[in-house]
Amino acid sequence: MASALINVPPRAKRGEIIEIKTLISHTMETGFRRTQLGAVIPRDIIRRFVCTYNGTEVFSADLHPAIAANPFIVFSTVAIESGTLVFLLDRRQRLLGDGVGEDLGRLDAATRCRAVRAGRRGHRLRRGDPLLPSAARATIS
Amino acid sequence: MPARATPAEMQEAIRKVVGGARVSPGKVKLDLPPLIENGNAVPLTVTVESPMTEAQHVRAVHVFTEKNPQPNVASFHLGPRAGRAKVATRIRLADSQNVVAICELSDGSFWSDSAGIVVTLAACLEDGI
Repeated sequence: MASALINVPPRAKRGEIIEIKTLISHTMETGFRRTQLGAVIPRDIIRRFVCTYNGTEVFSADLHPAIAANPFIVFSTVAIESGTLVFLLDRRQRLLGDGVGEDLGRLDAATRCRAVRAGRRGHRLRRGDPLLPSAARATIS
Repeated sequence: MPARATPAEMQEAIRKVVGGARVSPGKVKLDLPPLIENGNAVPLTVTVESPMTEAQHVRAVHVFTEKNPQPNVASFHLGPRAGRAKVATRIRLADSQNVVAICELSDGSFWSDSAGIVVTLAACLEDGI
């Protein structure tokens, strides 16, 4: 289901601005398409994307169906210390705010690291599910 | 095809985000190709002129479209830790239309930029599975 490719420089000088590129494998099904039999294909959207740096949120994005399939998000952060970047996905089916059916996948960090699949086909992400086998540390010197 | 949003609905969606605040043109730059063949993946970059310090930074960048089924595209939340006020992604566009980017600065002001784009193959039109 959701795997991801994350590009973070493995090393940076303290205070340097680093660019982070993330590509998440996900259909971002809009909920506007129909099958050939006319049935609506249910909406399946990554609603929210969060990046934390040693536990502090440094970037987040609220996404809507107008984001292309396999969301590609580029942003930056200042390398203030050695540490771990953690990427979180929220695949709640409903709009943010109602808190129903919360479905939080956890994507543990990475430096030029290819994520493994979250599980078997059809496996739904739950809170705490790792998308990467273990957290990789970004070294800041 | 689902119903399209209209420019009026986009203005309504913008009002929901900015509240009653005034949105001025400037400070933010929205980069979109002027013409794209495939509306399913349109590269978009938003850059804001800001020193990105604790005192002066960009709080958020919001993107809206006029004629997609829904006017909202994405909201990016930044802060002084971002270092540089630049975000990029790929979006879907259902028609040739104007795209609007609005940034919210730490002083509470809102700034906007818009770009027109011609889409030859619209997103959302492909057959289902």
